[in-house]
Amino acid sequence: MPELFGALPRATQRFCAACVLLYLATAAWALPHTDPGVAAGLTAIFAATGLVRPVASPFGGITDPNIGVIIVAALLWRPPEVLLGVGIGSFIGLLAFRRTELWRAAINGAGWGLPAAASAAAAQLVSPAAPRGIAPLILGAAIAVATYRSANTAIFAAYRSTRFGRPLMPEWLQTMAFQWPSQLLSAPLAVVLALVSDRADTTWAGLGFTGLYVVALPLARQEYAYYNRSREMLDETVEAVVRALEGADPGAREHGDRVSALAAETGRRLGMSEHRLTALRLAALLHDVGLLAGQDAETPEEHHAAIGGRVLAQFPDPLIGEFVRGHHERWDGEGLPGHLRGAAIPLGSRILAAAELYDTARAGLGPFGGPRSHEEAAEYLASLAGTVLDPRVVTALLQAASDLDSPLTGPP
Amino acid sequence: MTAYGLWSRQTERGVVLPEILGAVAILILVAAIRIAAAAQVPAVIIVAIATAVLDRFPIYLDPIGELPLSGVITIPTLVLFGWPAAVTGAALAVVPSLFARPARAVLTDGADRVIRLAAAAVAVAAAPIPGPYAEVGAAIVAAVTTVTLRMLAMAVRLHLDEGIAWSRALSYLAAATSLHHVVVLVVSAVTVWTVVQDPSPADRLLVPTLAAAATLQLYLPRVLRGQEQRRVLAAVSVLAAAVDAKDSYTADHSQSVARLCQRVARVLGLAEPEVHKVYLGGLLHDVGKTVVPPEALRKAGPLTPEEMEVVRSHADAGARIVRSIQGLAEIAPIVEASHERFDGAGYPRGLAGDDIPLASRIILAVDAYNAITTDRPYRPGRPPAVAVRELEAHAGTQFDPRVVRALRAALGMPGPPREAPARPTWATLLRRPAFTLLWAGEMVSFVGDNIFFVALTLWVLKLTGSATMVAAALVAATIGQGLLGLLAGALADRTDRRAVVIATDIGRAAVVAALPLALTRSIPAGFGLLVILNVGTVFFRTAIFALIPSVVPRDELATANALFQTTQRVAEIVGGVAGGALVLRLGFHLVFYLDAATFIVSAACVGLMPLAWRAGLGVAPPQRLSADIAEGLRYIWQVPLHRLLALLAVTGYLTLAFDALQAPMVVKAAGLSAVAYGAINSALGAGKLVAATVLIAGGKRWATTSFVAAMFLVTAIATALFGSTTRYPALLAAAFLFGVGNVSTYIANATLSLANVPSELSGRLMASRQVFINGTTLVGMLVFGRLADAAGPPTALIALGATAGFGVAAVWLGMGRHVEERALSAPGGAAE
Repeated sequence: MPELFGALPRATQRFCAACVLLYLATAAWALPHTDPGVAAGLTAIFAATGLVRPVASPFGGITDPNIGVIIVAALLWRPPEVLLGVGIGSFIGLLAFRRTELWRAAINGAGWGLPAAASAAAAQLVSPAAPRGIAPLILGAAIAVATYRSANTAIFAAYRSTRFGRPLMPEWLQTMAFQWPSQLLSAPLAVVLALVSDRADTTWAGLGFTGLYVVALPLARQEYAYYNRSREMLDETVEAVVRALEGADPGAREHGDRVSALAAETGRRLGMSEHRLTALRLAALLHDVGLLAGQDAETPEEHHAAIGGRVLAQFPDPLIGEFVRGHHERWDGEGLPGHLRGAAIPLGSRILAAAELYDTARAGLGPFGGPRSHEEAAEYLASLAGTVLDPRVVTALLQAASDLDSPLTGPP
Repeated sequence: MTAYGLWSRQTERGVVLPEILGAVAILILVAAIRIAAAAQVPAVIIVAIATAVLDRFPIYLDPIGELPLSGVITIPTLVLFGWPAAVTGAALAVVPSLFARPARAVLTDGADRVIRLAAAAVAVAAAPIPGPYAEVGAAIVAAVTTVTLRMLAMAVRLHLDEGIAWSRALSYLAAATSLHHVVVLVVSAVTVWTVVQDPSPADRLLVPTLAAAATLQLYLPRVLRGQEQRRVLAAVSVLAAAVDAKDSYTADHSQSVARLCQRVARVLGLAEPEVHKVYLGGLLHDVGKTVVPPEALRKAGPLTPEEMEVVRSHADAGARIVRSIQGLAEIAPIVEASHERFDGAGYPRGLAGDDIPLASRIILAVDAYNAITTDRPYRPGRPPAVAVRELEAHAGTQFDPRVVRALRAALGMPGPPREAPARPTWATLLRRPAFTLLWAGEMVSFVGDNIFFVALTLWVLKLTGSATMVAAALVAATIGQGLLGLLAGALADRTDRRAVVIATDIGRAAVVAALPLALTRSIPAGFGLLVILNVGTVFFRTAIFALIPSVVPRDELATANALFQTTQRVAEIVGGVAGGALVLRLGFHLVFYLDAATFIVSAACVGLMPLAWRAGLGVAPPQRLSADIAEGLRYIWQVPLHRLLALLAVTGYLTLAFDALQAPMVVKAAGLSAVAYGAINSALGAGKLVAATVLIAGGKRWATTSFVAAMFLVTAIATALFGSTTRYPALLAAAFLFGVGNVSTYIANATLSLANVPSELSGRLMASRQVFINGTTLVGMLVFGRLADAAGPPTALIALGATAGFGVAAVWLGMGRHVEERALSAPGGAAE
C-alpha cells in the first residue's frame, strides 16, 4: 500500500482505494449491460485524450482537455458504456501517455468515470430514447454538465480535503464555482453531436464525430500555449516601455506600480467592470509615457497626457488611451489638455488623477519634498475634492488606500 | 477613424467603391425587411444575436485582419428561412459594433455582408441541386459563394492597402483561411442536414444557434490567442511610439518606416512570416534611442564625436531591449544590424553584404529614405524622387542595390529605363528599317502565294474536272522542297542570300506570269512550270530565313521568327479568302499576274534593305556542293543540340501526315459536310495564329528543347484525339490544339536552331531541317495513308498520334535531358 500510493496520508489512501473499489464494483455491474463496440470505441477515444497535455487556461487554472468530451459522451451514450469508456480509457491514457503513477491514474479514472456515468444517467432521465427532441436534449445537456461538475468536484475536493486537511465543503464549493463558463460552453457541441448521431441512425456517426473532436483538442492546446506566450510577451513589452520611462525619470516604475494597484482597487470599489479595470491597470502603468517626449510644450496637444493618449491609442482597447489622455483634467474644467469638466472626464482618468496625486504625496515626490503619512495625504486630497478631483473618487480612493495600507504600516 | 488617433491607418478603404456597394446593400436590405417582417421575426432576432456574438469573437489573422465565423449561422438561415431573414438578421447584427468601431467601417462591413448573402441567394437559386440533398447542396453552394466573394474582397484589400501582388495575396489568403472556410462549410452543411431530417419549428431555430455556439467553443482558443496577439502588437507599437515621442521631429517615424519596410519586403518576395519580422524590426529599429539623452537626438546640425558615440550606442541598446522581450528575441539581430552598411563600413559590427540580415538592409534603406523625406530642424524634407535618387547614388556602398530597387518599386515609381530590358516586340523589330522591308516584302509575297494556290486549285479543277489532277498539281507545286532542300541550303550559304531572294523572286514572277499560257495549252507543261516555281520557292524560303539573323540581333530572333510565322498564318487566312473572291472578280489570268506582281514587290523590298551586300556571309573556302551538304549534316550530327532537334523533328513531324488524314476523317468517318471541313481547317489555322501570337509575347523564353518536345507531344495527342471522336466540337478543338502544337514546335525549333549555329552554316542548317520535315511528312503520309485505307481514318490517326508521341518521348528521355542548351544571349556567330 505505501509504495503503491507514494507519500499520501493514510486517510487519502483510504479514500482513493474506496473510490477505485466503488468504480470497479459499478463497472462489474455495468459490464453485462454494455455494447462492447461502443465501450471499446469510447475507451480508445478517452485513452487518446491522454495524449493531450493540460494547459493553463485563459480563465484561470489548468484545463484538462477531456472535460468537453465527457459531456458529449454523457449525452450520446448510455451510462454503462460511458462508465467503462471514460474510466478505463482515461486510466490507460494517463498511464500510457502521461506516465503518471498508478494510483494517480486510478483515482483520476474513477474520479472521471463515475461522475460521467452519473451525468449520462441524469441526461437519460430527461431525454430517454432516440430520436430525441431538441428541447429535452438541451435540458439533458444542462443537467449532464451540472451532475458531472458536482460529482467530479466532490470527489476531488474530498481528495484534497483528506490530503491537505482543508475543510471539505468550502473546498468543494470553491472548486465547483471555478471554470463554469467554459464547462457550459461544451453543452451546445454535445447537443449538436447528439442530434446528428441520432438522426444519422448509426452508432458510428457519433463515435466518429466525437473522435474528430478529440483530434481537434491538440490544436486547442497549441492555441492556448500561443495565448500564454503572447500574454508573457505583452507583459515583457510593457515592462520594456516602463524601463524606458525609468531611464527618463528614475522612480517611475515603482510609482507606476503603486498607482496601478491603488487605481484598480478604487475602480473596483466604484463598480468598474473587469474589462475597464484591466484597461485602468495598464493605463496606470503607462500613464507618464508622454513624458518620454521631454518637457511639456505650450500647446495642450503637446501636453504629456495628450501625447501619452495618442501613443496608447495603439492598443485595440481605446479606453487605455482615453484614460491617460484625461489624467490631468480637473473636476472644475481647468485642466489639460481638453478642459473637460466633471463627468465628461472618463471615470478612469479621474481615478488616475487622484491616485497619482495620492502616491506623489505619500512618496514625497515633486513639490512635497518628503514622504507624507496616509492622513496627511488624505487631508491633501480632501482639500482638492470638488476643485481638482472628483469627491466620490476621493472617498473611494482613501478607503481603498487605507485598506491596502493597513497590513504594511498598521495604525499610527 | 479619429478614435484610433494619430496612427490610424492612412487608407481605410473597404471593398471597392464602398458608397455604391452601400447603396446596393440598402436596396437589398429594404426588400429583405419587407419580406421578412411578415413571418420570420423570431428567426431574424436569433440570427442577429448569434451573428453579433460570433462577430464579437473573430479569428485574427495577420495581415489579413479579422475573419468572423458568422457564416455558420447566416448560411443555414439562408437555406432554412430564405434570404430575407438571413440578410435582415446579418444586417442587424452589426448594430452593436457601432458602439465600438467607427461607423463607416461598421457600415462597410454590413453592406459587404448583405451583398455577399444576396449573391449567395442568387447562386443558390441559379444552381439548384436536385435530389434528397437539395438543402445540403444549397448550403454548400451558398458557403462557396460567400467564401469566394469574401476572399476576393480580402484580396482587394490586401492588394490596395498592403501592396501585396494579386497572386501572392490570393495564395496567401488561401493558405491562411481555407481551413476556417472548410469548417464553416462543413458546419453549415451538417446543420442544414440535421434540421432537414426532422424539420420541427423549434429545430429550425435552435439547431443553427447551437451549432454556432459549438463552433465558437471549438474556436475559442484561437480567438483568444488572436486577441492577445493584437494586444502584443499594440504594446510593441506603444514602445515604438514612445521612441517617436522622444524625438518629436520624427513623430510617427517608426510606424511609417515599418509600413514601408513591409512593402519593400513584399516586393522582394519574402514569405509573410518574414515580412512580419521585417515589420517588427522596422517598428523597433530605433528603440535604443529611449536610453539616449534627448539633447543628442534633437540637436540641430552636426554632432560632436562624443555625441556621435552616444547615438551609435543605441543600436546595441536597442537589441538589448528587444532581446528582453522573449517573443521578440529573433528580432534583436535585425535591430542590432540596422546600421550596418552594405560595404562593411557601418556600426556596430562592421558586417558587409549578405552577412547583414536582409531585414536590416531593408530597414537601413527605408530609414534613410524616411529621414530624407521628412522635415528636420536644419532643413526641410525633400521629395520622394530626390530621396530615391540619393539612395541610388549610394547603392552598393551604403545600401544593398537590390533593396533600393525594391524600394523604388514599393513606392510605385517606374524603374530607370536601363533597368527594364525591353522585351522585343513587333514594334521593336519594325523600328529596324532593314527588317521592316524584309517583312513587308515577305508579307506581300506570302499573300500572293496563298492567292495563287487557291486560284491554281480552282483553275486545274475547272480545266480538267478531275480531283486526281488537282492532287497532282499540288504535288508538283511542293515536290521540289524534298528534292532540292539541301542543295538550296548549301547554295544559300555560299552566295549572297539577298541576291538569292531577289533572283528567285524575279524568276518566280516570270514563271507565274507564264503559267496561264502554259496551262491553257498543255497541262503537263503547266505542271513542269509548277515544279520549277517550287524549286524557286525552296531557294527563296531557305534564303529568307537565313537572312533574318543578318538584320535582327540575336535577342530578337525568337520574336522575328514568331512574327514571320504569324504573317504566314494571317496570309493563309487572308489569301485563301481573297483568292476565291479575286478569281470571281478578275478571272484566272489577272490573278496570276497579280501574284507575279507581288514577287516583284518582294524583290524590290529586299533590294532596298539598308544592308551591305554579301552581309552575313561566311568566308567559306571554295569547295564542292556535296562537301557542303555533308558538312551541314555532320554539323547537325556532331552538335548534341542540333542532333536532338533533328531527331525530335524526324519523329515529331510524322504528325504532319495529319493533313492527309484530316479530310477522310471529317468527311468519311465523321460524316460531316464540306462546310464543317472548312471550319475545322480554320480552327487549325486559328490555333496556329493564337500560338504564334502567344509565342511573340513570350519572346525567347519559349525557345528550349523541353518546350519543343512538349509541343510535339501536344501535337501527337491532338492527332490521336482527332481520331478518337466523331463529334464536331471535339474535332474543332482537336484541330485547334494541333495548330497550336504545330506552330509552337516550328517557331521554337527555328529559333533554337538559328540562335545556336555559326552564321556560315545557318543556310545549310535550315535547309536540312526542311529536308527532315519533308522526308518525315512523306513517310508519314505514305504509311498512315495506307493504314487509313485499310483500317479506317480513326485508327490511322490514333496510331499516328501514338507513334509520334512515343517517338518524341523516347528521343527526349534518351538524350533530351543531357543536352546543354547554349543560352540565347551567349556570344556567337549568328548576329553579326
